[in-house]
Parts: sequence; C-alpha cells; structure tokens
Amino acid sequence: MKLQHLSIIFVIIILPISLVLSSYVDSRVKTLNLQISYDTKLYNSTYDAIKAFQLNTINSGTSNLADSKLRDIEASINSFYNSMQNNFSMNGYNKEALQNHVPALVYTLYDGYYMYSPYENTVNDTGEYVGEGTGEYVSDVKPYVYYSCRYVQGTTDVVIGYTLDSYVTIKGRAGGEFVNLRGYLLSDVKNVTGGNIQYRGVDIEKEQLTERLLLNEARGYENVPYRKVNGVKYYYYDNGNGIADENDFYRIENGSVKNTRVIPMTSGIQETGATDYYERAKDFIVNNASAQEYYQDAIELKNNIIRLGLDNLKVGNAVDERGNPIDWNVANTDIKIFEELKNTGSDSKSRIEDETSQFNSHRMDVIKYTIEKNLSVAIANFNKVSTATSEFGMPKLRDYEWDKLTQNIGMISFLQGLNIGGKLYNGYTVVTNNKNEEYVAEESIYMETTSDNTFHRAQDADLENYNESDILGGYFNIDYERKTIDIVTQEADGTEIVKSQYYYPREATGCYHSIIAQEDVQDFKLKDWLTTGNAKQKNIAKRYYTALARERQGLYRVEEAF
Amino acid sequence: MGDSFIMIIAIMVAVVIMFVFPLMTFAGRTDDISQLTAQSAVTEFADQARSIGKITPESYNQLVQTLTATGNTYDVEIEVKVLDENPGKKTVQVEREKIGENVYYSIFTAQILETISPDTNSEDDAKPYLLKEGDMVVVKVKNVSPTLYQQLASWFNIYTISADAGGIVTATGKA
Repeated sequence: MKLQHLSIIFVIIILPISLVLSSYVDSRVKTLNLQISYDTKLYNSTYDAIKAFQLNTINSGTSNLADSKLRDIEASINSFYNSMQNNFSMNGYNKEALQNHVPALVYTLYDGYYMYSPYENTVNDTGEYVGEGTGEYVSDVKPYVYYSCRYVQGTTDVVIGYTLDSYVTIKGRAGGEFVNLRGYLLSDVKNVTGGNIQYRGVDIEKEQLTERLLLNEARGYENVPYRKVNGVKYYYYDNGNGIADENDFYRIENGSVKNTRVIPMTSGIQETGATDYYERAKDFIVNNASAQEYYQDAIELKNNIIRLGLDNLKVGNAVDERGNPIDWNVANTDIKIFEELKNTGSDSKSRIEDETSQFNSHRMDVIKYTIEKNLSVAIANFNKVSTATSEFGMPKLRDYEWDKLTQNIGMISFLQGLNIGGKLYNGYTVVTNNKNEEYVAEESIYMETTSDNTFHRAQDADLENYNESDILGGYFNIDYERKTIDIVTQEADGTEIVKSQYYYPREATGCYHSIIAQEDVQDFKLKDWLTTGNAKQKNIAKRYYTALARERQGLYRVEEAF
Repeated sequence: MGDSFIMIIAIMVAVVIMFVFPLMTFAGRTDDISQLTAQSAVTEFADQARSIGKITPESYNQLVQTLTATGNTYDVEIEVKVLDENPGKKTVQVEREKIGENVYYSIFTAQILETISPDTNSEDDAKPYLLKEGDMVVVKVKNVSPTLYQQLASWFNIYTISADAGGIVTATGKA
C-alpha cells in the first residue's frame, strides 16, 4: 500500500474521533463556564438582597420589631428576585421561571431564622380549613424558627434558645420550679465590695455618651447625651433653661424626632414617686450604666443556673420533638453545657464566652441542626410545587460556610434545576453581613480616638501609640453610618416645612490603617489584654469591653419589650 | 527527478497529517481543559475572598497549586480596590452609595503577596490579607510559558490561556 493511501485511511479514522472529542470537550467547557457564571450571578443577587436588608434595618428605627422585620425581609426577597431577573434576563429567564427553581431562601438572624419557601395553605379565602393535600401552594415567609433545643434530665425539662453570641434563653422546668431565664453567659464576672462589677478583674464603670445631632436648626449641631434601651436611643436635650423637664427627652423614630417620656426604673420597678423625677431621668441618660447592667445580668443568670442545677445539663440530654435523643456526631456527649461558667481567670481553662469553648461548639451544632432539619424538608417538598423536571435536594454546606453563618447575620439562597447543557444546575450561596442593628459582634465595636478624630478596629496595632486620654471609647459600627433626620422649621407665614437632613451619629473618620486598608490588625485575643496587658493595653481592653457590653445591653429583645 | 520531489512532498504531508495534526488536536483540547481549570480556580478564589472578606495564604496556595497542576506556568495578578469612605463622609451632601462619588485606591499583587506569602528570608509569617465590605477584588491569571499547542500553532494563533474573576467584597474579614 502506498504511503498516500495509508495517510488517507489514517485521516478517515482520526478525523471523526477528533471532531467528536472536540465537540464533547467544547460542550463540557460551555457547561462548566455556564455553571461558573450562574454561581456568580446567584452570589451577586444574594448580596443585593442582604444589602437591601442592611440598608432598610439601618434606616428604620423600628426594624427590630417582628412585623417591621418581616417587611424588611420581604423587601429583601423582592430585591433578590429583581436582581436575579436582571442577571438572568440574558439567559432567557424571567422572575416566574426563576421562582420555579428557587426552593428556599433563608435569613439567619440573631436568635433564629426566617425561611422563604412555598408551603401549602390549608385555609381558603373565607378562612375555612380545606384539609391537607387540597390547599394551594403559596410562596411566603414561614414563621420564625428559633435556634433552640430541648433538654431532658431527670425532672429537669427545659428548652434553651441560642443566639449568635453567648446570650441564651432558658424556659421550662428545673429544680422543681418553672424557669424563664435569659441573659449573657460570661465566666469570671463578679461583684466586688463598693458596688463595682469586675469582668476578668477589671472594673466596669458608667459612661457619658453623646451623639452629634441637629435637633434644633437655630442651635445647629450639638453633642447630645443618649442612652440606648431595648433598641431605642433616648436623648436628653436641654431646651435652654438648664433644668431637666418633660420637654427635654427625645427619641428618633424613622427619621423624625419625637418628644418622649423617660421613666427611671430600678430592678424593673417604675420610680414615679420621686420628686426629682426629671433630674433622675436625666441622670439615667447622662450617666449610662448599660454596661454595668449587662455584667450584673450575667452574674444573676450564672447564679440562677447553678441554683437550679442546670449546670449539670449535658450535651447528650438533648432530645428532638418526639423525645428521642439527638445524635450530635460528637465524641463526648457527657460534656456539661454550662460547666465553663464556673471557670475563673486564675485557671487556664476556656471561658464560656470564648470562641474555643465547649459551649460555643455546642451552640454552633444546635444552630446547624435547626437550620439543616427544616431546610432539607423544605427543599425536598419543593418537588411537589415546582414545575421544573428536576429532583430537588439539599446540598451539603461546607464547614467554613457554617462557621460564617453561626457567627454573623446571613442569607442562604438556593437555585436548582436550570438546564446548563448536559446537566442541571444545582447551586447555593451563603452571604453574611456584619453591619446591621440585629447583632453586636465582637468586630462591630470600633475604638475612637480624640486627638485625630478617627475610629479604629479594636485590634489596631496603632492604638497603643495613643495616650490613654486620647482614647475616647468604643462605639457600635452602625453609628458611623449615615442616617437621615427630619427637621421641622417654621416659615414666616407660620407654615411648617419638613426638611430631611443627613447626619452621622458619630463624626469621626475611619483610620487609614485598620478601617480603610484593614492592615495592622493584630490576630491576638483582646481578652488577654484585660489580664496580662500593660496599663495602656488594659485601658483599651477595658473601654472595648465596656462598649461591647453597653451595645449588647441596648439591643432590642422581644422578651424585654413587655 | 519529478517523482522524487513529489514523493518528498507526499511524505511531508503524510507526516503533518499523521503526527502534527493529531498532536495539535489533542494539545488544543488540553489547552481547553487548562483554560477551564484556570477559570474555575480563579472564580473560586475570588468568590471565597469576596465572601469571607480576606485573601488567605491557604486559598492562594490552593490557586497556585491548581494552576500548576495543568502543567503550565501562570502569572497571577491580584488587584484590590480599597474603598476610602472618608472623603464621602467629610461632606454630607455626597451619596456614599452613588457610583462615581466613591474613592478607591488600588493595591497590587506584590503588596498583597508581602502579607500572604512573604519571602522565606522575611521574619513575617504568612497572614491573611484582610478586606472590608465595599472593597473590590480582581484576580487575573495568564500563562507565561507557551503550551505545546501554542508552540505548534504559533504561526497562525497567538492566544494565551487566561482567566479573570472579581467583584465587590461582601463581608469585612476577621483577623
């Protein structure tokens, strides 16, 4: 056979193989590229949604109230779908088509989560029960689910609600009585002689806090003393006569300034009989004792836990709704949940509020368990609702994603069943956010310095270069965000004009090292400074922990609203 | 004389068809796979940095390893556009969220590598490079050593394997 013939036979064999291989590889490349582009689109839409939630909560004074929060969540869901529609319109998907492929959206908040997914509405328009299996499927936000777990040990039967930090609620029967406890779990807090409170050996003191506000246009911006109680900031603004009276107390509600009554309370009892009523109210605001109360509450919670024998509760005592023990997948189920409360500064054991504590790892397990349980059911049930032909299932979230979710407010979005050529897309995204009024994380407290009017991260290495007197204190990161206030002014003819004005509750600018560039941030634990630091370091740590306590104490909590 | 010449030409054509063509085809597919690997590695790296708010030494090493596994050498460029909120804050009239009024300054690969992958002679340990919400991160990779396909096809094709990914950082990183 001639060489030319051999070549032609070779070409006849190799050319089709090469063409098929080439087209196969091309299609795989396209599929994977499409998958990557969908991942990014889903991520961007989820970020848009969480950003909408952040903006709404920062600018709404009532964002913590349940119905207002629901409204913010619904607005955020709308943002998600709008953004998805924009992102996916090039691929030919509209909102309705996409809704068929989103089995669930989850908003993980401070003490529980909201899930947006379709459910069967078993009640008709007139309010009659139509029976299971015959109702219409509607997509909406399902009731709030708390990060809680039930524990049964002998006569003790309690439900413990966990949060993103060491705040817990304990409800049920313990020590022969009904209990309803709540508060932060802190080790090494004690009352010392003289009425002071010490955290890790450092005295916690009252603070004098002010915010730069424009309450009266004629007087201009002024530093106004305030105190945050249950999510609302109360201001004392002297109207010029130098005496505290009923016209001197204000709060800002959704941008408008409202005159408010402030009632001094001691241990939950209203002090109305006092003659120096307004002076005491002024003192309540001007000399802010929120931080002290935070630690005082922690002491009371600790004492109650020990008195009621709850410190003997073990991880293995956890049961599900049917009373069956929960399998935590941990080596040792004899770990006592609250054991670390008793650890003191003098021992080297971990404190209960530390990230490395056994309590913290159990807390994360509970949060993960409660989310996973409901979510897997919701996604599996989506098969009944969706007209998409794919089989929906819960993807496995990675460990670092759970770490993010158990430490921050976040959102998980799922998108499944879109055809990406050769296979179906099955993706999810976790986006977290640490700038909102829901939760005061340890990173949410910034330290402000007076000499250069800047704020820093608490672990900024530069902070040690400032004089002690230059360090003004710690503030919540939200206070450095721009807000709106409505100012009412009267025209010459008596008509009132409402003008909206932007303002920053705290005027300082971000430090170029630790805030803008995020550099020089030390990775040590600030807590160590409380006990082992030098005088300067101790002062920074003390101010930081006072601020953290004050801001956490001032958060809105449903239980305290009534 | 004429027959010998045609014979030589025929042998050359046969060599091209039997060796160079298959080699080019398979080298081309390998490049496609490398391109895909590079694109997914870069996207994963950028998305992780955006979502956790930091560029960690581990994720950078992972990126480099994945790229090296394709058998080519790549140049990795990282650019972080740092959002400076201060100019917007000094005057309350400007909208921070508005496009065009934000001020960004850029940090480039060499500066980032000083933190996440310091010289072996340096006393510093490798640390994560922290980002904050609102910053932008852009990662680009480009192959610097020519692949087999590029060598074979250099006279009619001058493309390189390159991939990029980036976006806005969604959470402030923890130290």
